[in-house]
Amino acid sequence: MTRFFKNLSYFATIILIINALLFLKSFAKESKAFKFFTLYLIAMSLTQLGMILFVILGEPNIFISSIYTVVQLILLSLFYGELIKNRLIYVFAGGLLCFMLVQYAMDPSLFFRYNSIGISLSQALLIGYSLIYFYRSISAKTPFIIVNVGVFIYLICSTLIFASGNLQYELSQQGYLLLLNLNIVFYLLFQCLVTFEWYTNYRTRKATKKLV
Amino acid sequence: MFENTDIISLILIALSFLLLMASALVIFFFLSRKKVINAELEKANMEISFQKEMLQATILTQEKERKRIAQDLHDAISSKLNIVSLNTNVLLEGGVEEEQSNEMLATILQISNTTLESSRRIAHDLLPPVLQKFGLKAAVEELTNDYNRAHEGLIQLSCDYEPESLDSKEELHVFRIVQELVNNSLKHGAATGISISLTSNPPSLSYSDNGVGFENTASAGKPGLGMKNIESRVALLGGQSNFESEAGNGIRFTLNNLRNGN
Repeated sequence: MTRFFKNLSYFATIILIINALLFLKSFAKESKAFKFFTLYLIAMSLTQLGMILFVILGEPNIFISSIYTVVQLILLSLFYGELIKNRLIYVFAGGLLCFMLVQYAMDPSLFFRYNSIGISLSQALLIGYSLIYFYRSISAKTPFIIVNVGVFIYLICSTLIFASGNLQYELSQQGYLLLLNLNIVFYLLFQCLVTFEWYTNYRTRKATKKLV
Repeated sequence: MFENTDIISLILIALSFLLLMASALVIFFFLSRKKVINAELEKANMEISFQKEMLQATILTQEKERKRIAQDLHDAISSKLNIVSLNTNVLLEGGVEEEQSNEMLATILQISNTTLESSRRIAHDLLPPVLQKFGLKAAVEELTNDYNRAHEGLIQLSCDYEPESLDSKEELHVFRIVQELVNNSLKHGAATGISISLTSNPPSLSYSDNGVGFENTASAGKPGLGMKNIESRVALLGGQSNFESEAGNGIRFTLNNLRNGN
């Protein structure tokens, strides 16, 4: 069972890298939002590869989760900032970044634990942006709606999983692994939706593009 | 202290609940978007069908007008010219007594004069020269005078319209609307008093009569070609029109915001 999920995790990473490459293919021709999302996919691929590298080396890799949180917050805020076109998005994201900076400055050891509050707050903020974008898209055909569905579902589910991250010291190894494996399943679903978005809207660049 | 399995199952329950809520929200989003987009599509279709109706009305009006002109030409000009040509032929053949020939020439002269008058009237009906030369105010005054000559005090005109408040195309539309309204009032409404007020600052028209009103006419509830014609002219002017009518109380028509269309 563990082996199956390990392979699933590699599979999710491979799809993530493929998605990053697919989006990179039309990087130059597309909108700013598209560029930020491509950067997000590339950054996620790098963190995922770093995670795997540290596992292979046998070093503790928990500090990557902090990098993951910060990078995700910055790039997805830029992405939603472009889609929603409201400066408040940057203000909130900047505020949260400052908060996390203070958190790490006051307690540097947090870097080697799960920063449950930071992760939860940043994901909650991104979920809020995603909801606003849903609202904006009700009356018009807007780009990246499939990606938005993926971000929304994955962030909601993974927030709970990450927030319970520090329970790994309390829980049995098996119990915690179950949660992490569920996270992999949700991540795979997210990446499949990203591929689906690319397939439906960006596979070929037509003069009249039909958005789904 | 909770057991491990308790915490795990609690987290799993919360997770399933969150997943359920998130999926419900996504489904809700797609369903409402479908609904909104369908509603917008319906609105666009309605607009298109309205425009089609307008186009049809325009074509029908055009055909009706052509028929009327053809009839006018046939009745007032062709038939008269026939007589002229017939008389001229008889005269050319010769052998006619002088007295008879003089009579024939007098007939030819009289018919030519009436034909000339008829052709002038037809041309005038098609496009009043006074509208082109002296503008809307003069044209409406002329129209009013023409009707008042036949029925004393039929139309009350109050006009403080200043020349060139509207461009010539817009003036033509307003004039046609007035023409159509007066026609309708006399033909369908059997009105005995009409009041027209034309102002230029801002450009607006208000019209009322004391006829039988709209609901009493034969075409009750269904706008006739004339009304549709007025509607499309209002749309071309980019103005706002309001039409009120009560059975037995005549009609009131106002046209505002003409400058918004520019």
